[in-house]
Amino acid sequence: MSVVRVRISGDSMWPTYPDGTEFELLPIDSIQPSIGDVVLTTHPFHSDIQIVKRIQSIDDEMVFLVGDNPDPTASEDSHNFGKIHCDAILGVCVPREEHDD
Amino acid sequence: MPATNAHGMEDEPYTLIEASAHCDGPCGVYDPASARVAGEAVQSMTKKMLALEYPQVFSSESMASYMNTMSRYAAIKEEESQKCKSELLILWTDFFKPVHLDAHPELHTTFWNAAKLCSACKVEVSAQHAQELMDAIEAIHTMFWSIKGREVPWIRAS
Repeated sequence: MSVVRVRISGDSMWPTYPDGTEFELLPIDSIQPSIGDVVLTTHPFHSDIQIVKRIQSIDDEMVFLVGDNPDPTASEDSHNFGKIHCDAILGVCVPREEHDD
Repeated sequence: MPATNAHGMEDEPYTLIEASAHCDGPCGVYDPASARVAGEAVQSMTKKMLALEYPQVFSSESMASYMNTMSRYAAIKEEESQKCKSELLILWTDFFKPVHLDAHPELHTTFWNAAKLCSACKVEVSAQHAQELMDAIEAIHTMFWSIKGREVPWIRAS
């Protein structure tokens, strides 16, 4: 299976993951996303944009995604576009250094 | 794309996905130029008020003209001061993020003083405070474009 990495641009995951952080993408068929995971999905309103957010809650297969940035204007997430279906999650993002360990 | 892992070994090739972690999907359009134009109007009206000479001939007509001109200058100064403050607050609360404080620890103080200068320019006819407002907007201009990674010269319309 080929390795897939994800690099983020923007500050919505700051301070945990600053602009430019790279993740190893664990495909969704190899792992069950859970609360607290950082995941890759497609923006519900912009199909050409893939976004990285953290799962805050899962309720009946509907997932609420948030950014880590404490500034309420710093992340477009489920506060703006609502919950997404769990099937829309493309994979779980693991920071490269954690993955290497 | 080959890479080297933590052990100095070459990783297997990988596919790289560029993902967005922005505030919105593209980010909104911000530019301190809006505040700068309003600030220039404040300074211009302040100068005009200070330079307006009292009518040499005292008459109902001359006084009406004088007061009308002075009132218009004051009204525009009032409106543009408030507009300038609004534009600055949008930049402060929406564009600038906590991460920017690392590189610009003076950010909050600069905006706080700039907003207060907008208020001062409303209630006073002060050339000094109007200039200090422009200086503060220039400092914000410099911070803003530094964060955007672009060299944009400070220009004035007036």
